[in-house]
Amino acid sequence: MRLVAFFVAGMRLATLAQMAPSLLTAMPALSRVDHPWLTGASWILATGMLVAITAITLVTRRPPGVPYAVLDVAVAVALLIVGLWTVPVELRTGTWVGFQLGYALCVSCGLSAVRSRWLWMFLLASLAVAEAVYIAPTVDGWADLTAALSTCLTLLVLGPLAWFGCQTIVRIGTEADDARRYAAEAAKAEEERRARLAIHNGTAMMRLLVETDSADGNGALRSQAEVELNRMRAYLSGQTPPPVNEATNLAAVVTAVGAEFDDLPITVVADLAQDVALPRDLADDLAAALRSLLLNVRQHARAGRVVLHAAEDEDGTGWEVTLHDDGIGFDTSATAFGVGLREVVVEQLARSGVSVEISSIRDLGTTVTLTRTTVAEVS
Amino acid sequence: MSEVTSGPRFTHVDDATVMRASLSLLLPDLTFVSSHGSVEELLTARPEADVVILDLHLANTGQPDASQGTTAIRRIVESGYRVCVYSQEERRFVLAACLAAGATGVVSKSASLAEAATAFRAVAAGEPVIPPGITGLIEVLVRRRSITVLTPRQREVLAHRARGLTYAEMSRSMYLSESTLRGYWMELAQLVSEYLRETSPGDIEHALGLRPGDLLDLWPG
Repeated sequence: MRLVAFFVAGMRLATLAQMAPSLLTAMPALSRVDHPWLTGASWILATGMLVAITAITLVTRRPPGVPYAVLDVAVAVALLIVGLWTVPVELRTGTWVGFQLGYALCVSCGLSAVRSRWLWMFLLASLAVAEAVYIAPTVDGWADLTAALSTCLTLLVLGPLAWFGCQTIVRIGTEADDARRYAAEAAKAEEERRARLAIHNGTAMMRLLVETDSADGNGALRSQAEVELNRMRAYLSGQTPPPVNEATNLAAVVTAVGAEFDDLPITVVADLAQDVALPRDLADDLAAALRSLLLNVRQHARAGRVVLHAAEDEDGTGWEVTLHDDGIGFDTSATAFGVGLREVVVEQLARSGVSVEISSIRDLGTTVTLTRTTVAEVS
Repeated sequence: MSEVTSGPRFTHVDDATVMRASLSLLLPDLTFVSSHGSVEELLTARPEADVVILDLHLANTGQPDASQGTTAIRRIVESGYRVCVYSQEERRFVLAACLAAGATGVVSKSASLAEAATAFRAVAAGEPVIPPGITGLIEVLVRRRSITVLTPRQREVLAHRARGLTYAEMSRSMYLSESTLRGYWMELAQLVSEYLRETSPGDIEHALGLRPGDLLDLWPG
């Protein structure tokens, strides 16, 4: 909008500058024209409007609004009509003594604030008709007719060109603003997500430590708490370690996470996952998700048996990890997922193309199935 | 004169005196007809029992020559008893060797008493009790076409069992009754047991991707 405002103000100042020399010659000659007061008023009105619109535009840093635009066009039309009496026929085209045509062109190029296409067309048509009336007396033969048509076409071409140009600039600016706002919101959401990821498992560990008798000295719990503590400190210090690019395999990830929870009655079955290579970032996401799920099992399930199973699909197009416990279960339709399930498991894995299905039956247990289907690459 | 009982009868073989004395007290709903410190003692007494609950490690300084492991299982099975291994042993290939030797079930001593009692009853009913870890090995053998005789339904049941699902959960997802699923599982386990008994350790090593000789010391001769 600011760019359009500068364009409108620039057009006004340019017109004013072009009128100035003629004004210097027109004022002393006022006493010799037929309607001196009318001619003087025309010059004053035009100059005043140019200065006023320029000032408003520069102060508000926006193109003049619709009321100003309508007033602007009305003044231009009035000046053209009054010009029938104040400007001699031979001076109406090709000179700035007859400033009305230049003024009308300047006004037609400054209608960018008018968003309504119908109103804009009406205003432009009003200017064109008034201009046609103004220069009609100059037509005396074919040569004059073509010159008059060209003059009208100048307004009818440059006016729309300026309008469309300004609309395009405004649209681009609006879209850029929207994009910037969206990017800011996305960055904020991403930061919040990273924070939740960094501290969720840590808070769960702290809760377990608080609820567990410290005298028990659960070694596995303490080791995990230390890992989560380091993760939180790294996040808070902004020194998140860069991802390690070395790939690993699904069986190794699942087995390692299962080993962290050896205080649970857990069995890890990963024989069919040995050949599934995982990029490091996906492996880290998967490990975080499994930790979150197993923390849930530890906190809530009261399970007598937990099975963590991983396998490659038979046709080699993907893999599946299931975590089953025979605990108390819960009603998946009535229970809102917490931060751990929603953010650390479902949403974080979805970013890596892993879908999550949770099924649970009260008093029978819960099964979480993580599935990744690899889309075959088209060569 | 033998006491008439309505349910399955169990006998317990364990070299630990405390275990022999306590198991029947801890599982009062099961009928224990005897307990023995060794397989030799069991086979001499020949109690009227349906299932022998057997510890794998029976040799100690008091009975250094006692049969144990897969040898003990074979001797008991050949004597007409069903065997349910009840051990702290967690090595999957050792437990798989127990199935190859003829054991109907494998139960960890770390299992809850309720879980253990359920497993013992299942073995008495002829239902194989195989931990998910070993079921995972069976999955590998099936996936690598070493075991080829399973039907699609049996393979589906195997996949669910390997993931730890109970019959009740499987029943809901597969729309089959629990008894039908137990039937599939029993047929499947029977086929797998036959495979394990009849296949050489070398072939199983190859199918599981193990090194030659890895199973030789564990597998029943």
